[in-house]
Amino acid sequence: MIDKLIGKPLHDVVYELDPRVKLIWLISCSSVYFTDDKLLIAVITLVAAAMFIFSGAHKTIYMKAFYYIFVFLIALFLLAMTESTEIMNVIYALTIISKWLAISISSIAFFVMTKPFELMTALRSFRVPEAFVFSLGIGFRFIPIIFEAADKILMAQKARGLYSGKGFRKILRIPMVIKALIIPLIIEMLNRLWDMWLALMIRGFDLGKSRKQMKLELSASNLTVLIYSFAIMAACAANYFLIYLV
Amino acid sequence: MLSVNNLSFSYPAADVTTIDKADLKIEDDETVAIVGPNGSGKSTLGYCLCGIIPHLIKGKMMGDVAVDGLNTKDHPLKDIIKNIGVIFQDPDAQFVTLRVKDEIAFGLENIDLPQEEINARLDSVIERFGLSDLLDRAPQDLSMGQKQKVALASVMAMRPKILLLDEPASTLDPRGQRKFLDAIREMKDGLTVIMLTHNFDYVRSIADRVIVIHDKTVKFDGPPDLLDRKEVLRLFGVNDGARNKSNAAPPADPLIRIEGLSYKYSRSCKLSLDDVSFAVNRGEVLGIVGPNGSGKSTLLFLMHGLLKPLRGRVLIDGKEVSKIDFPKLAVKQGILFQNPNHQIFNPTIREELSFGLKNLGLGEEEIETRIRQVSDFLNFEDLSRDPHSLSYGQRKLLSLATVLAMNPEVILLDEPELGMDVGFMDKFEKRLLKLNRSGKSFVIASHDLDLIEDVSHRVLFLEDGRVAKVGPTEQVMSEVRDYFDR
Repeated sequence: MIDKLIGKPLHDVVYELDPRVKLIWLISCSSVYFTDDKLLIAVITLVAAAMFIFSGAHKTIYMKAFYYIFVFLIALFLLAMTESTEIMNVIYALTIISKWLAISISSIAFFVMTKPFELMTALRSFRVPEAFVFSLGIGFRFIPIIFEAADKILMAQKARGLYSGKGFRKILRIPMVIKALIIPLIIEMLNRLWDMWLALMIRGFDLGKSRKQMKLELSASNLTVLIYSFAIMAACAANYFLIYLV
Repeated sequence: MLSVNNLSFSYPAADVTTIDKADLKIEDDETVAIVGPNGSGKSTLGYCLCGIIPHLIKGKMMGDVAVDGLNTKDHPLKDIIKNIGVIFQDPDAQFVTLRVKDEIAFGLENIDLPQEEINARLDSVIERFGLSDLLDRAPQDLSMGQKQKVALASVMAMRPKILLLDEPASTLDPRGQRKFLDAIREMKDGLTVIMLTHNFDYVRSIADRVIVIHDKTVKFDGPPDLLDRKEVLRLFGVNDGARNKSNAAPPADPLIRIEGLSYKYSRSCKLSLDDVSFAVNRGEVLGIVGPNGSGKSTLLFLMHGLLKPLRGRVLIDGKEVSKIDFPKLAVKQGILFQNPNHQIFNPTIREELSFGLKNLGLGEEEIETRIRQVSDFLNFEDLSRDPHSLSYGQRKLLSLATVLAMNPEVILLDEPELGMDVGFMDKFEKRLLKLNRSGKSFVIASHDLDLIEDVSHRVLFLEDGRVAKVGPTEQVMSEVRDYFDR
């Protein structure tokens, strides 16, 4: 169920990147905002798009949604063209779309295509309070449990005719449908929470305790993305200082 | 190592004691099975032994429990858990992290071990339990057997002197149960093992000593050789220890036909069911067996039209299940889910029973008649009682009652034995066979090979989503037992 929702590829270059490298990539792609150098913008955008397309990440459900937004932006761009025939306006519109694409792709890589435990490790390495990080982890832990339980509950109620009735009668049954889902789901969640709390306590859980941190492994793909990210950040910064300050 | 002196406990707001004046002494390196029916107080005793009572669950506790000389009343939980490791029934419920490696390290980090010691212990248990390929995987994505192994590794990494297992392998298939016992057997030297279970047959081969508790008191304390199934049933309060047996198989008259059924849960995973074809005859009990993850539950959901097949179809009386509306389908077939909590939502037993009947469009009088019939059959007395206050076994019976009330021709049962003791299952088998004799057909997916052997006319063996074998019970079961013994 949760796989259906995320639709993640199992072995994907972007998915396997270290979360901190992804974050640095996101920051570097965001620095495109501060430059107007067309070549630099084109490189950043094309590299971001290529990473997604060649690594297989474009097959995810999130990226499908992303394509729809992209088509919408192309439509906006065409609209801008109809209002002005000046070539500079066209190039300006293209520049804006490119910047947006680069930032969006790298944001998705960080926020969506990061394994939950890696995201937690990244947050810990940025000194985010443990109480928040651990609670987030428990939240992540509960997502598949909630989906699985909801699935089973809906099936159990469907087998007893919860969705029976037609037309207006079906609409009148909506409160009953909600009740039949919510009550067993809450009871299931409370039971699970109780079990998890016992498991936490019996293993000496202490919310304030710091957890083991994952080491930044500079594998070839991580190293390449890291060097590339610092290079484009430097290029964007240089471009910004040269044009706007000097 | 562990002593219980004159222990009594009652939960807050409860007017009855769950444990009554229990005395117990468990020596170093002993492997003790505490066996009792549902509701006998096993889990409560387990909570007392590991300090959950009185530290996390408050109630009225009298008497003393000492773990390695530490009285649980006088010492903080943090000191007690250094000596005792606990594994609960459902490993999924006790995983608190998002990665296997973190799960194993979790307890070690909590007891303030230096990083080098944590790493050394991690390496040791990873090698011992063969977990090196699973370290970066999410615990919830593992198979049931792997989950139990990770749960065991994460407890053993803390190097406890006592290992307390609460119904440790009830969710595993027979082979998984045997492997789990083998793992315990391998490490029990120098370790005191306490197993809380309702399944005496399961612990018979490993326990040095069996303690049977029933009605809050110890009924037997001695070596397992002095007990057999009949004697355990007697101690559990079930007088008739004879095995139940189904009647002769009915003639082949297909009621349900499954044709080339295939299914998978998401695009990325492999087929859960692959080209499955068979038939269920009218008046027949068909058992479905197979290892964890072989597709037994999925098959039942597809048979009931709750999932849409990728390929193939399910026909009941010649009509495709997906094209039959609820009221017509409900009188053809009903389904009992594994967990009764997934369906109970009404404030009284009566309303719970009438929910499906109202959906069938029956009149008040007919609904009343049917409620009375199933209540008599399953011995429900107080229909105004809140179903959430019933015991797990009673809730399971209530779920069955809601299905029976709709009077379907065939009933699909998904692991009816899960969480149920031998006494309950004995009564359950008797009722099932009585219904079968009156003409009802059953399809039972189960890990309990004894149940399947007792009640089924034919058995279908599923392996990796495919039909490995289907035929008369006596023919298929010998192969099935060989498969699980391998």
